[in-house]
Amino acid sequence: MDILQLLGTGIATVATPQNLLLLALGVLLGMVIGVMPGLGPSAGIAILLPLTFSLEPTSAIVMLAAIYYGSMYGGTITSVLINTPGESATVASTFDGYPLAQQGRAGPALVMAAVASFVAGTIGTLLITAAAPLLASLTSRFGPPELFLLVLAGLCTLIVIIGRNRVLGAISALIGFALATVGVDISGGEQRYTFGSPELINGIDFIPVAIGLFGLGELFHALYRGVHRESPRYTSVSPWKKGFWPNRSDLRESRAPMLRGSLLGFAVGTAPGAGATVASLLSYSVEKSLARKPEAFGKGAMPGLVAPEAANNAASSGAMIPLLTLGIPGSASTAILLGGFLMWGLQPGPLLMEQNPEFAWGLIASMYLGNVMLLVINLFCIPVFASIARVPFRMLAPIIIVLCTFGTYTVNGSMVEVGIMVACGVLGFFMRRYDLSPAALVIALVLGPIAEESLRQTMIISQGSPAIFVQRPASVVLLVLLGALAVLPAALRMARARLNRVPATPRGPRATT
Amino acid sequence: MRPPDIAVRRQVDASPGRQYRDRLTAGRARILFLGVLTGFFLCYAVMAFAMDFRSPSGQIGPGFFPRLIGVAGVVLCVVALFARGTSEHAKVSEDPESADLRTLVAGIACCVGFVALLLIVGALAAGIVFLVTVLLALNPGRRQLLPNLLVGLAVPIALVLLFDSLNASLPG
Repeated sequence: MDILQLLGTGIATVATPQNLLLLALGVLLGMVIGVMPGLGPSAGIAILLPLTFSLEPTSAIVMLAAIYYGSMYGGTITSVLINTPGESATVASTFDGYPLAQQGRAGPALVMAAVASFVAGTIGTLLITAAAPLLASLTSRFGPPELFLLVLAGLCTLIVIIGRNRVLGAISALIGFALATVGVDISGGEQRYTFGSPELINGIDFIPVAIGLFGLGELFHALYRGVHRESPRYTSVSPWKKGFWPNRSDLRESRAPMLRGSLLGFAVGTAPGAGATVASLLSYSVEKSLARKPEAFGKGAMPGLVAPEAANNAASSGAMIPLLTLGIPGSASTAILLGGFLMWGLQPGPLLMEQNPEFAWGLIASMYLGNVMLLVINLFCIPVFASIARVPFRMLAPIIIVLCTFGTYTVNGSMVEVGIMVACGVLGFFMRRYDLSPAALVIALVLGPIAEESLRQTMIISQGSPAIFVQRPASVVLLVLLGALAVLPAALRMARARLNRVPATPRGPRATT
Repeated sequence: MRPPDIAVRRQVDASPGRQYRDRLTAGRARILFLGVLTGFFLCYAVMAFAMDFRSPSGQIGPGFFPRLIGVAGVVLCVVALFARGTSEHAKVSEDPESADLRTLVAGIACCVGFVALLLIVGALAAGIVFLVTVLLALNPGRRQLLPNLLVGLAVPIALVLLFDSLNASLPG
């Protein structure tokens, strides 16, 4: 079957009235979560995951993907209106989005951001359609040694690129791996770290951990920072007011940045570990360096808003590539999606597209429809979401706690898991406060069993010899990649030091050449 | 048009002495946190060494992976402790001025209380008691009384009905 036929099957799977309704509901709920201060896509997916348990897998994942995209855009609204990004991926949107709102151009800024998200999402989905089957056919030859190295490469990229401190990033991943070892050992059946509790025999589920770290952890951190004392004032936005819609000049100057941001964002998003944050910041830098008037950036330049906005949405699509074809999540949000896949008995990886084509292509098709839904809802509901952002944090915080607690309980009906969620909330607060990475922890928790199993299988195949990692060409390539990741920070540091040294040297012909 | 901004921020004592004390306290808290993590990995590693490294059939045993994790965790925590204790990073990187430790501790205590209450009185009653109490504390004032009570009653009822319609059980 060719790609178009498979995509057609996927669209047919998704385009039922129930799924379309779930798609719209997912986008709406995602945007509501996204505009709440401190809560981003990871928290949104984690908190709302329990709502999808009663659905069949395709419908559930369609709704979760919609929540993912909706919450990505929701963060933009608060970035533009109150200079408060919902999460790190929309930080770059504040640089020019907020100055635009200060100039009374919040309406055009939000509409252009919605258009940029739609264009980037559509380009990203087109690229997924083309690239995912190719990559899946390539990676279907991967065995346990390559899978183990891929897990390591994903975590290394996350630690090297995202984390401000690599040692603390690695510690975060190790906490995740440690939590993943709780429960019955997969091969021998021996209990590990269960302390005799029957509730821990099946291990620690990732959902209470993710809800705790991203939902409660963010909330505790916001309370600590005193966000509940703030009384935000907002610009009112209404499509019926003059100046709400962008003018021709906005559209003209945004076209190229939107396209560049989409392509760059997708490319960055496909690298496991790198993600929307890196993509948006990189895209902003690129546009500023290409601009005719770089001095306008930071003062309300439309390209400075649409480029990072396009990049972060395209990166969200790009992050689906390693998830669908390798089973390696590129970000905390996709790690939670991976957890959802596993819960519904689906194993993402090279064989997913062969064994569950209706599911994989249904997900890709839902991205097309989701982008259209996102644009329509965005354009007509911007004032509604802006008014949600007007609700003070002190009213939202206790509601979020109740939602997190009820949501966690409904997963397995376990109070122990509720306790784990609260404990992870406290841990999440300290992790944020002391620069550790909750994302690395969740990804390691989800990937821990895969890493252990693939290493075990590798050792069985090689009869205990680690030489297998240098005997297979694909493993060698991945080892080289791991080596490159290890030396990348040092190389970047040296390059930066060399660049800084150049202006310090005495002026003269030799210094300027 | 009035520019949007975040209006109210607490007035704080930003004297150099106060800032120095804040940084010192934050630096010590950071070291304490890393110390707790070191202790966690140490206990984890000790328990890992009590497990079999290899299975009777000569394959990787249940203790193989935990040993790697435990040892790496202890080593990295010690490295982080040493780096934090001796470098500029020991200074707090975030704004200590707006820190509200009392509200944070109260928030965590309320969460724990809510979980305990769930076991005793069930989801609906616990949700109403928790929401009304916390909203009245965070959002005080006579004019806020009615919105607090309405939200405190409506949200738990809506959530219980929602989860009920999804066949997801809640306590009580």
